[in-house]
Amino acid sequence: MEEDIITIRDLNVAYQDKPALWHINLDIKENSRTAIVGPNGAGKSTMIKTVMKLIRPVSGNIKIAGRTDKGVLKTIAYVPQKGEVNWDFPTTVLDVVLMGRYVHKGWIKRPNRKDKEIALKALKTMKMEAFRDRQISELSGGQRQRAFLARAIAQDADIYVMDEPLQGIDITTENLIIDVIRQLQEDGKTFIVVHHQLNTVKEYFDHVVILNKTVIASGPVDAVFTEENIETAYREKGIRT
Amino acid sequence: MIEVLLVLVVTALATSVLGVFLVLRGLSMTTDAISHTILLGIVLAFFITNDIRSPWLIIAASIVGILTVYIIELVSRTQLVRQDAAIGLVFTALFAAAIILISKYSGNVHLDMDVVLMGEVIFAPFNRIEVLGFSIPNALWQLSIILLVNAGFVALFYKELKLTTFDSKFAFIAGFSATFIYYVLMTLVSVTAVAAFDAVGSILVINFFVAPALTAYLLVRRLSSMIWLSMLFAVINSVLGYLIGFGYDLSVAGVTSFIALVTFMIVFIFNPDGWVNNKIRSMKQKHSFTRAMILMLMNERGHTRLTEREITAHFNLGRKQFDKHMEYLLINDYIEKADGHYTLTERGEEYTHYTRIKYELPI
Amino acid sequence: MMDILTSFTFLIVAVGTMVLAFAGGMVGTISVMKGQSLIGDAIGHATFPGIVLAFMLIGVKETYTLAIGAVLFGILAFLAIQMITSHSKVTLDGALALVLSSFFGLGMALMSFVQGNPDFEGTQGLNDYIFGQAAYMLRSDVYLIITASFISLFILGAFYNQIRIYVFDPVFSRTAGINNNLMNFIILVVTILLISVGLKAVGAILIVNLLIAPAVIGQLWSSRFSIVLLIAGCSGSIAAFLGTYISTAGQDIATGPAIILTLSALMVLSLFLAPKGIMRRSIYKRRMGGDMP
Repeated sequence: MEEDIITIRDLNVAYQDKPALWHINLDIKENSRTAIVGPNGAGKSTMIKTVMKLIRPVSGNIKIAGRTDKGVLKTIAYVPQKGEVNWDFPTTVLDVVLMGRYVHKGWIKRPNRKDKEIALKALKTMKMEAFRDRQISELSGGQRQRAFLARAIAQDADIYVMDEPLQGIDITTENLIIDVIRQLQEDGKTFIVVHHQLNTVKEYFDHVVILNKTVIASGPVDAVFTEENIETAYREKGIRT
Repeated sequence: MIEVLLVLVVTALATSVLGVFLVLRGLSMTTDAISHTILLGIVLAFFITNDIRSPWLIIAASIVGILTVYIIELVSRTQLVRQDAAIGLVFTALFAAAIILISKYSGNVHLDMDVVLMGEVIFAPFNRIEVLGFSIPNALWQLSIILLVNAGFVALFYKELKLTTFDSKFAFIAGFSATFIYYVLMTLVSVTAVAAFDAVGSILVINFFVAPALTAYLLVRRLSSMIWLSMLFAVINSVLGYLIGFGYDLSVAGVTSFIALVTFMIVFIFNPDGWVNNKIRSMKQKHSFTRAMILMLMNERGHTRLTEREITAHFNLGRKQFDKHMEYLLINDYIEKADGHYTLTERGEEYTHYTRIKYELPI
Repeated sequence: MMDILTSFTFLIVAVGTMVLAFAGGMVGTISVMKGQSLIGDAIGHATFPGIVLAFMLIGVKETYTLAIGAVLFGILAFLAIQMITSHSKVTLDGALALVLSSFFGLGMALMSFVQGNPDFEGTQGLNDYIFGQAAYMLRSDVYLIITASFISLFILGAFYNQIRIYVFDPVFSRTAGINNNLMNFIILVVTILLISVGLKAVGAILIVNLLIAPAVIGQLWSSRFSIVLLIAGCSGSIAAFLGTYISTAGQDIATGPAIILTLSALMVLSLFLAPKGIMRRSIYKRRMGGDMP
């Protein structure tokens, strides 16, 4: 748990002429469960989208496992916020999970038996094997989230980046997701999770980044997740809204 | 031939006054569907009455027009088909039926498909009618009445149209039936489209409905000005289309439709909020933003004394850009330069403080 | 009946429209899922001035020349729509209506110029591209359709996985290293290509149906993308065959509209009978006492 797997230096991100992230310097520890918390509009999603190279920063650089090239993204599994996919698309749960394997495929190549085994195993981990032939649009919110986490698992990435995975799902799924995250941490994976509920941060995560356009504090939960820091991040916003 | 121009202008006015609401409600393609399917109504009514000038043609066509709207809604309400797909499915099916009927029975029928579909305003004056002792083109007479009806509808129900267009849920709570207004609007659209057939044909009539309204939409912030402006554009397009089309012996309706795109594009590119100005503005914004960022960086701990290399590397700036920004900042006394290092002045400090507040950054 | 089935004209037309409808159904499925059903309509209308202009410049009504003109104007129309929607508050709905009618108007203006000008001969057939005149399809028209369809299907097959992921989840596809812009471009080019070569068979106005209807039928019958594509292609072909047969057997029935009506009939049947259709759903509703999720 000593190495930094992601290092961000002097990062500035802007939408048109409005800075969304200002002067971010941040290290994410390898094999950690890191939560990103902050008020609405603090730039949490912007930050992980910038890490995923979905947004181009104005300045600064991000190193992932020491690399800056696009290929490094294949070692990251990204679970986006809900509602970002085309739900009308006719595809089964197993199909969606198999998509995780395409990351390792070149052009034209189809997934083979081994890929299918990996996908089925991922479904099993998420307790979704009974739903493998269901169309994705027929699932409930929690089931969908499980399916997308299964896709991330099938991708066999080193880093998992998740945008509010616990938003609007049932408590069973929430517990399952947290269990799986712990399991995968034992296998050496790193988790970066945008998180909304402040009351569960200490229970679910071991590291935390408190963000409000700039990094207010970051580090081990016990040291950093203090009343004072939280107040600094949320105070200013609270007055205005 | 001034009558041709009159027919064209009246058509353009009658359509564009409704077009404003079609554009604002996102009903442009639905209207396009109607303008195709009313052909089926015309054909069916013609087979029954055998009279191309029978008023039943207009009635039947309007019924089919409303039916089109209804079927589209029915199909998309099953939630099995998206609305845009439903439009595409319904209008092609009904239009195909109309064409088959025409092609099957055109042998003994005086229904000239080309004129119905393409319209030719030049021929409008040949079909005349006596009104109060004056001989005027039939199309002019019909369309003038329709223009009055449409304008009257918009004037009378202005408040309701505005409310249901802007916020149908609120309109419902306020006690106005959005469905009623919607179907009246679409009925008028159907009737207008039928009457405009003669002059501009079924494919181009959509252009007369929406093009002036879309052009006006780019320029205005108020509904009432959008209506007046769209009628102005309707007249401009028609007059230009008439002059060019008539002068060079081209299809007047065709030229008018294309002119409508040209006027739209001119407004789109050059209006105060248009493409050119936006490009210039975003360029200026980008420059002033970069300068603000440079100053902000110099206000951060550990960055208060920066060399040229540090700044260019940090912001990925080219040599020329760097010089331009630095010149601006030096002249305006935000920074000073001493032995190759740049530092903030007091004025610069103040500026960064102000910028932090402006961008809602923690101080 | 055998007479018709073995007649040369019938075979030419049937093969041409069947291949076209098969490819069109598959490609159309992708556009429908992307919520771009009516872009095909706009492109269809917008190809008309391209055809007339190609004729004016080259001076002959030759299949390939006209198709190139159509493709160019299809692309131009798409770019205009994209520019308008991305740089102003005008919606896709409005931009489609504006561009399709204005381009068509340009086509009509050019057409009236050509017809009134003695320098141009043999302008008669140009109208065929508006309403389609499958009966006058030449061998070269069919070859063009087959070539274009094979190219389209080949491209679709080569990029199958990428396109699938891109259409389903564009954010994931970008993080998985797929070039979204390239995918969008491929889908667009293939769509315009098929529309352009299919104009003579079904015409500029109706061709959008060949893209939408099979896609909707496919989606009603299956929840697997590959099967949806297959059903879309097949239902397009079946309708093309039946429609061509009906138009040949019955007198004075235009082929394009006959195909479209057959396809529409298949579509209505599917809407009621398919596994995801209205009837099954109401049964499901009654049994479960609630809406389908």
